[in-house]
Amino acid sequence: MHHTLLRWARWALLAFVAQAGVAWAQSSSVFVGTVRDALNKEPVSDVIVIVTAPEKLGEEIVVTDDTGSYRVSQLPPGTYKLRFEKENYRSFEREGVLLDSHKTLRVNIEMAPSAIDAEEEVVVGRTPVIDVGSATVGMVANEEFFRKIPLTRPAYNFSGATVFDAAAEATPGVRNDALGYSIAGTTSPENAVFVDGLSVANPGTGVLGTFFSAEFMQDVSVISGGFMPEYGRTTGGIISGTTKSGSNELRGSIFSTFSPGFLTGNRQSIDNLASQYGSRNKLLYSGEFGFDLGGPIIKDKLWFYVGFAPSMVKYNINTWYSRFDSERSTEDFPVFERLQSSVRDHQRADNRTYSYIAKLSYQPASNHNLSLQIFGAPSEAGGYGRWPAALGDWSFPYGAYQDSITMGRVQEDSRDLLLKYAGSFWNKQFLVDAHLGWHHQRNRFFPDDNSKIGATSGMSSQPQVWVNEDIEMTRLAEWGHIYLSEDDRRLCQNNPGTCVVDGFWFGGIAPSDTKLDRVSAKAMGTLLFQAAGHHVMKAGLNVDFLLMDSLYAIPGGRDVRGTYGHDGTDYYYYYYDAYRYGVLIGPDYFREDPYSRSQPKSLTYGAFIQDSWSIFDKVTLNVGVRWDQQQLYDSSNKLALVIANQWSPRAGLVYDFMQNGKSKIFANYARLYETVPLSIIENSFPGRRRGGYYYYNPSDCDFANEDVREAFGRCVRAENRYSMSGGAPNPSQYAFAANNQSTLVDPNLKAQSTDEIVAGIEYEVFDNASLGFSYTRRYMNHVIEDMSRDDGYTYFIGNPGDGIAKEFPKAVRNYNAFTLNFRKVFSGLWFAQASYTYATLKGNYSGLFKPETSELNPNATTDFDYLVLSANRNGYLPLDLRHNIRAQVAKEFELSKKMSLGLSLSYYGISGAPTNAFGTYKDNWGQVFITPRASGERLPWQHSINAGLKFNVRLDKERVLSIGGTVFNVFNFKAVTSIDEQFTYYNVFPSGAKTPGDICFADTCTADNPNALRGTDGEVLPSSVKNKNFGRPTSYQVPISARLEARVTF
Amino acid sequence: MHIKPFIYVLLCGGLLGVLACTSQPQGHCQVAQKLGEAHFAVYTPLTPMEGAACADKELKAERIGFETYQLPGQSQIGIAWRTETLQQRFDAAVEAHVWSAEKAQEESISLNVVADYSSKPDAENRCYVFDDNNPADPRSFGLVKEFVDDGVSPTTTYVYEWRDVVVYSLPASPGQLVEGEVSYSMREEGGSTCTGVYSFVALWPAYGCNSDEDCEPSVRGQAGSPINPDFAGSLQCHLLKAVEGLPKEEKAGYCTIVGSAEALIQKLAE
Repeated sequence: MHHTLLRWARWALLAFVAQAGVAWAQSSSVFVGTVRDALNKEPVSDVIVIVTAPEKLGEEIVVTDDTGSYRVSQLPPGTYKLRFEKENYRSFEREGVLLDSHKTLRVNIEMAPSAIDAEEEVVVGRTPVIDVGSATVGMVANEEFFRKIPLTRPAYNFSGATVFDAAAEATPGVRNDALGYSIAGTTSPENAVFVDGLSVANPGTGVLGTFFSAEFMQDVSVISGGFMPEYGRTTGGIISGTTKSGSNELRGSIFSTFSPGFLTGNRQSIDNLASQYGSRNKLLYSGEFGFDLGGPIIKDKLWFYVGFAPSMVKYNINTWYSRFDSERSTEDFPVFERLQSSVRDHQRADNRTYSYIAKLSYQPASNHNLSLQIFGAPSEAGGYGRWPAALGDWSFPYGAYQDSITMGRVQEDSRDLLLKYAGSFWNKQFLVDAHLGWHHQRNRFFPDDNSKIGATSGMSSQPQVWVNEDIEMTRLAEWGHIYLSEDDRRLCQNNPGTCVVDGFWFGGIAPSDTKLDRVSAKAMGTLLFQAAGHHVMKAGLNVDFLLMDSLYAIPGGRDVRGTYGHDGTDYYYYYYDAYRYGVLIGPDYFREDPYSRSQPKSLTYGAFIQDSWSIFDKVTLNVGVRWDQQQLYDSSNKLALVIANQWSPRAGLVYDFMQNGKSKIFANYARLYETVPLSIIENSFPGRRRGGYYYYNPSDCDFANEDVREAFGRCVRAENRYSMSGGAPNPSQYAFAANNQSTLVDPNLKAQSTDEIVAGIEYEVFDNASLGFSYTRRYMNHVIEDMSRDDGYTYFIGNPGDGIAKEFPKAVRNYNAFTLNFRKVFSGLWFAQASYTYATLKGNYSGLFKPETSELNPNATTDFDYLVLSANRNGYLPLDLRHNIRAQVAKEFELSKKMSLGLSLSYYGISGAPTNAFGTYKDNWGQVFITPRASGERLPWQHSINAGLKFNVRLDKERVLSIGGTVFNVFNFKAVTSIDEQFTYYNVFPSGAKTPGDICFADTCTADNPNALRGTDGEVLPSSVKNKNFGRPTSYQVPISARLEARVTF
Repeated sequence: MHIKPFIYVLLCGGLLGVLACTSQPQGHCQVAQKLGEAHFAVYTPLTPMEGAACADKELKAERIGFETYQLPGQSQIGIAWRTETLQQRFDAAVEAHVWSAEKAQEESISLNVVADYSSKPDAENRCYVFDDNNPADPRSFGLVKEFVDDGVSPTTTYVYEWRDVVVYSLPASPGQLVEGEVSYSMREEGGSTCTGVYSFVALWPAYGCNSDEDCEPSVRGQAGSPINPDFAGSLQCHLLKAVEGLPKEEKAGYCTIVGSAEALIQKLAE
């Protein structure tokens, strides 16, 4: 199903590949501890605990209870000072305590009675590093981390900036997929991505929607497991950023990063043995510059924070055509010779993104905080004669056969508005957090000439033409689509059949315009009380409303596919209107629509309750439950799909076995439910209604030589229609239509969910450093997918292996991971973090994104479409990472009082992904597992070492200048990151062969051999159908590159 | 931003919405359809044709192509179908008359039966074919299709009068089974009129076979027929001609179900 997506995916793949929940309030960190008398070790009550930090507005004051315990909640991440005061005791201070977001740190201290004539304060408490309150696994990257550890190489995902989700790159066990980060074996659209608690994911597909710069982040936490009920609506991980805020001091920075092309290595060139088109790109530059500023408007009352950072990326692109050299070629290894006159150098691709934020924080009373902020990251890619460099369907350069004037332009606007309240009542025993937020995106794609949907002139008005057959390049040159010199033309003409492309695309470009909105309201109350230990009880409500309004148009109203034939003397054209948007309203009466509009909506509401009970302050028991329900509506506001009964039990146990904040063993169980993105409604309730007619006219339609619109005006006439029914008694013999009907839904459909079990141990091995070992297991319960029980004629939505889809194999995705993690926080001028993860990911389902075909079609992928293709599908999935090593070290050297030198070194190592041998089914490639999944050779390891150097000069008391740079992939490793896994482009069935090498053909084995490659007509196919490029590299690691950096902070 | 959706939140986001919206909404009435594909109908005589002249004119089995129409945003939908017997005679007529493509398109449309179609199935997953004139009892009218084939000798007049046409539409089988009654008469020029009444059951898709085994649906990873796997065990090959001597690419018949569509669907719905 969903050929449009596959079509895009095909172009995306043919292109050179660049390289291979709900978080509540962000003031979510907590200090806990016990105060004891240094002499008799008895708990001391009524000690005043004062908590302050530069990042925090005002101070927090609490008092220890009868058990000497205290708790300070709702703290923003920061570097804290804790001060303890009580009459007859010496005051005690602990400075520089680093508190990350979503963490609970235990600070136990002993206070010396002032009667003792101690010469100085006895420091019993130390800076804790272990979160003793939860079983959460993951990591937090704070501002310092972003400054000191190089994350994301230049131009990663076509971004000139380091996007805030880059924190995931350093997180143990995380790897990237084509659209983002794969956390705990899941796919990127499954993650929940937040900025200050507001989801900034694309409501249509679930991928990141606001590509916001990390420069404005106070910290970013990545939660890869061990979820409490307050986190929901994700089956992946959580990436949650907290933006900076203004404080009573005027602070800010001016920053700039720049990666010049001349400091970038050359890309490995890729030769496709099945294609006579080639392309190569090189980074020209990538960079970001901007500023931020925060300070008081009214001291202790009203603060502001603003920031702006434009970033840009630019590439040079070469494209060329090659001639097949029959003399030097062998059967297995064709040799191509570049046609020099076809080389087009100095083409450009670019992307420009503008991150901005403006925030007001208001404290009307000491226990009440309000904030209002607007932020976003609008971007534009391509335009003015350049290719778009943007993630997604229009990834650049297309790298396929197409007329270079068919260039698109991408505009993606994202903006977010958020109003937040945090307050405390009853002497800080009851806390309230609430927010109301709006995430908005508008993604537009249109031709370079700016003509939009419905334009009557320009590229949007030109029909798009795809020629699906072999064409001689000389013909393309004659028609003006490509350039070939006289000599090259002669060379081609003298050697017929050597200058051929297997398809070509010209004419207009399909414009689209999609608006996406999310309105989110959350409220949470936290109650602190004592009953056999301390309790932190939370309960919350959460409503999310999603809305999409998308317009798709076909340029010139039609998308034409055609085939060139040769009648012995001349070429002729045989074509069909591949489709137009519209609807069949009667037999052979197709009513055309100028565009297709889809307006799906979704409403999700949920509630949770949880208790974190510190049983007699020895063991923390976290229990709770979450309930959600989602309702999805079609364009006419009719209920289309209900995802009900999402009961998620959660339970966890954390035991600080040394009872001093220096250790914990933990275990946690969670059930996680998916929020279904809107694209399933857009594509299935019903899909975009389209259809058209077939035409045939060998003589009159030479549109390749003239204005295509005029040619079609002449050709597309009723008298040229012909019937494609093949004798079948269809009421419409000439018109065809697709997606006229909404997909039916299994009445017993169950919500998609995954279960997760996390267990581990963590220990503070020395001051500020911890060593941890954890185990994570995840498995799918039910999965929502579209399936066909009649080989692709009709589809329904159900749970594979269950209900009316019982014949289908159950969707399986089993993730098992062991992680060893060491972390030393920034202190004593150095930082270190290292992790090794051994993980396996096995099954038949990758998730909402299908990496095999780059298909982003959440809950309606092609994974379960055909029953007959269920064979060979179980095995190691594409995101199986096996061995994953991440290590980062940073060290600061003080050269003088005013100068310091910062060094950083990081290493990323990941073992290669499994590979497959794919066949084609119903003309969709990548659908058939000819041999068992993962039976191809694994790709090699990828190693990357990055090194950074930075000079910091203190200009005066407030201002610091930093200048430096980072070299990425220092040793210029160029491992293969993907290979061509398409074994054949012929329609085939799965075979009995165990590995791709065992597959045999009509010319190498007998028909009864189970290893024979069989076409869908049952016949054994000859070896000539094998893709010549099978197993050959299609992408390599990105070569060495450098990023220069300058920054003034004040 | 639109304001309407927010009103919608208020309407369905409240407690009432939560309670009312826990089950899947019922889908539209559907019919399996695709250009180039059809259902395969087998007729069972209720009142056989009379007379020796009609002995070989009996309606036995043929493909029927269905199609539905729906205007966006409207719940009222239309349905049309045509039979292979008429299609074949028509194709021959097109050749005999040397009609232009435009004329052929014009004439082709007249082969269809066009009617209204239920928007939602009833409790038994039945969708009815009816017309606006008699909405009270959708099953009580006949749809007459008369086709006069004057292109090929002898000129023949066909009349199909359809009754009680029911399409079963449910998620597990979206319009794959159709049943009903038809009164069929044909008269060759100069001959007498042969009339018979039949019940029929039609299965999607019309899948060519030479034996009952050919009809067994695909199961996990094993190629078979594209017929709904729930119908496995209730399928047989309905032969239209002798298997012997057929070219390899040709099939002698099409798959059909054993027994009534209603019984099969009841089994599914359980």
